[in-house]
Amino acid sequence: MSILAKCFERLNEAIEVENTARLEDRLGRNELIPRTEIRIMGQMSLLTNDVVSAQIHLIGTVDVDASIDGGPYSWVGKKFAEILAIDGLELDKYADEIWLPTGASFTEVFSKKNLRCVRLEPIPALISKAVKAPVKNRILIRQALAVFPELKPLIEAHGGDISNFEGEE
Amino acid sequence: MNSLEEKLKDPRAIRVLGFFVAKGLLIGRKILPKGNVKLNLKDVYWVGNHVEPRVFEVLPAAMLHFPKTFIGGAHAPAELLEVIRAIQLGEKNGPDFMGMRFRDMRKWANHKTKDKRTKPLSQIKRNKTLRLSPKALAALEEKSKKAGVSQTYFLEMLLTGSTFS
Repeated sequence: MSILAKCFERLNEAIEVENTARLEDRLGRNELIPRTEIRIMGQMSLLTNDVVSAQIHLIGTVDVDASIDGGPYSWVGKKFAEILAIDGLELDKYADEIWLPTGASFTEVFSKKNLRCVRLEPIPALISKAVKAPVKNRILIRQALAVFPELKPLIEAHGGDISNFEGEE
Repeated sequence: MNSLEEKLKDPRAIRVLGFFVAKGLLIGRKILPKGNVKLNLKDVYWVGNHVEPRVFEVLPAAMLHFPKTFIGGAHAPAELLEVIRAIQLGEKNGPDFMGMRFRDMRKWANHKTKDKRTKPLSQIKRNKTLRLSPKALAALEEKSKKAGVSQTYFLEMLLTGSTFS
């Protein structure tokens, strides 16, 4: 999680500073930012997963698919984008459009006073990629099928075409 | 050793992936950055087809920002040149390319890289020739001097409604 861990830390601190300033605003014009949850999905959920990246050779673009309480244009969303940009990362504004299989589960990777971050589990992340973007992910899924035997029936059960990932490159 | 691991050791993969990682367009734990390389488009296509298709997602942006890196860039396949042209023109919609969405490829042309050496396409200034009357030219010269800014900056502020700093 090292790529994102310091970003989460910075964001948690930034929210604290902002809330303190809002508290001190005597006119009380701003409501305090509630504890926010960020859900990391897409390639970044795999890249930051040490167990997965030890087994699969992962390469990704520098975008971060993150679904944020309040959306990407909320105060937290904009601040998170700013913080990611410091490290050359880019917040994908369309993360809420990502299709996930029913029952997709997340693991908590960061929890502090102002911020909770969870990461999509690898199997639903891989199913999503295999079903919705097979061309872009064909080499990744081919590797994943060798590592996770349970993946093949799940891809098929969600309407994916396994023949996209068979045969030689 | 599986075949992907063998392909990752291929000099073409080392150079192509190393370049994109060095420029902050791709990330990968085991990729060694290689910023100063010349890339043959054929090699880029090979890597995109056999090692990592995401290479195609960032290729148009890389060709726009680092045109001298790509050998034979001017003779690139028509579908790639079409994507580059649409991005350059700032079009919202354009053709997909090698399974990559235009929206995603356009995004990387406007991405601020970590080293800050590459300007997002949306911030790169372009030439524009204007034919102004002597009276307008004199006014531009006088007013920009008075504001203590360049004539270009003066016009930009005037047109965008920003205030002079």
